[in-house]
Amino acid sequence: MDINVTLLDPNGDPLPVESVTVTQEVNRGWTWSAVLSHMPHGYTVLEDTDRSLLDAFLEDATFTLTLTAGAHTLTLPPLVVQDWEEDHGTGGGVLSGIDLVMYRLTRSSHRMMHAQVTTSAAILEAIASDIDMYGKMSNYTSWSFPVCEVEDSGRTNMLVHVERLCAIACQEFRCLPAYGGALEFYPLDIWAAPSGTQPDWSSVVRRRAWADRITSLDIVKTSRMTEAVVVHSALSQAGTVRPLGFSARHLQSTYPDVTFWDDDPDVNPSANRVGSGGFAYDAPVAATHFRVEKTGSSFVIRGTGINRLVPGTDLAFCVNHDSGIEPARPADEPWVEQWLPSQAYVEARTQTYLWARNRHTHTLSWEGPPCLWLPLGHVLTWPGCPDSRVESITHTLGPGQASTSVESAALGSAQW
Amino acid sequence: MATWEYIGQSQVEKDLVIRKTLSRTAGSYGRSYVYDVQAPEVTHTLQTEVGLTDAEAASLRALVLAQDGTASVTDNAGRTWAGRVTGLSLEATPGSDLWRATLSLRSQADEV
Repeated sequence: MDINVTLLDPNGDPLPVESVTVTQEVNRGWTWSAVLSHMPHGYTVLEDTDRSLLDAFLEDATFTLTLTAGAHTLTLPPLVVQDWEEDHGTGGGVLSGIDLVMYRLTRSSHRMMHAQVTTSAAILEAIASDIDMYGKMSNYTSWSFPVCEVEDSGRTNMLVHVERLCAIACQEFRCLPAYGGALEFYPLDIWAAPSGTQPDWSSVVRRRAWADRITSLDIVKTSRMTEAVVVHSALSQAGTVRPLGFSARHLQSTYPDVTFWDDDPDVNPSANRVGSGGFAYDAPVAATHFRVEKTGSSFVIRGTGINRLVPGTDLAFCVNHDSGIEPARPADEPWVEQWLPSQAYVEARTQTYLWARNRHTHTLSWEGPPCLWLPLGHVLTWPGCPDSRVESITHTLGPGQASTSVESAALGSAQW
Repeated sequence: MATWEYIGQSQVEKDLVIRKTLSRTAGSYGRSYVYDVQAPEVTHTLQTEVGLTDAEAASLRALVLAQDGTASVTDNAGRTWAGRVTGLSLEATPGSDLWRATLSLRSQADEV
């Protein structure tokens, strides 16, 4: 099998790579380092000015790295160099850095507070335009997010906002080469089935640790629902429209296939739909009618409030947990969701949240021949071990070295 | 170069990366992955057919000690061997004041 490494400088000229190590990690992007056997000819002129290789390019000039092992090729997203260690013995050195997206997320100080809109979508949009990158978190476009709180704690790094959003939304991100580097957000799926193809491994090590383990979780639901209507199964037919019997801007149904309207949509064609999916939160106008979209059994609608909400003061639930870590890290702080959660929703979120906080306490380390096709989130299996998902991948290629190392976190009940 | 005759010998060595893997099922071997990463190392070894005098041995030693020393020699069959001088072994021949020499050369075919 062949092994091939191509590293191009920002001018598109190849650099003499001896060996290379790249790591891709959940919520951390890429880190890379390459050992150069000698100083490329074009840079020797720098010596006359006492400057080094890094001075030849702008700080965010991008390098291109492509790895090949056997039939598989891996092209990394655009990379920036952060460090150049020159070896005056061999004439070469070690170039190392991160990918362009993480560079832009982590390097700048910025002001988010001027963005008055603090929904997750607005924040991500602001960050994406600031770093000239594409990034979208699905399903959580209307989530309010306490930017001011994060700002007040003195952190000015955009990655802090993104990580906080991910922790609350139970999502993760990875940096993809597409579009010249992009943040791809995806839901943290701890119930995923084992992925089809499994790599070959030379060593498999399972680790269990109790340190920093979260052992208690309190959920406090503070919703104050003042109204309720019971819809019997005879009325729970698709297309049925009924008045609620009260007006409310905040509604939750135990049956999700219900929409809410400010008038009877069968009678008034200009009636506005103010909520769908079985809930409405802080609707611009009060709902007075509901419509059953899909036939189901009996259900209950609860609602409250005909005035707009002061954000964060009503209809929220608060999750506190005892991590025992002082001071609390951003992801350990209590957080508030302005939703009308169903019990199943809360349970699923709680389990995912707990898993994410405890994932480092039950891990597996894998090492084997280069496996460049392996993606983050891949569910690995091994006889006698719980299924686990890939959280970190390191490829090392060079003379005498050809390996892929993986850190994965145990899934399912093995983790609790 | 010296006027005595050499007996030539050539050796080619490959450094393969061999990764053996574990088997998922009992009673079977795991697969092996072999990566051919590095160019083969080609070494020529030339041995003197007759003994060298002290002066001739000293001149060979000087060749090895010199930086970037290269040599091109013809063996007793008329073949030409060329490369970087990487080693010299001198062995005194008992019962005489001559030396037997072994010269090692590294092929320069893969050099940039």
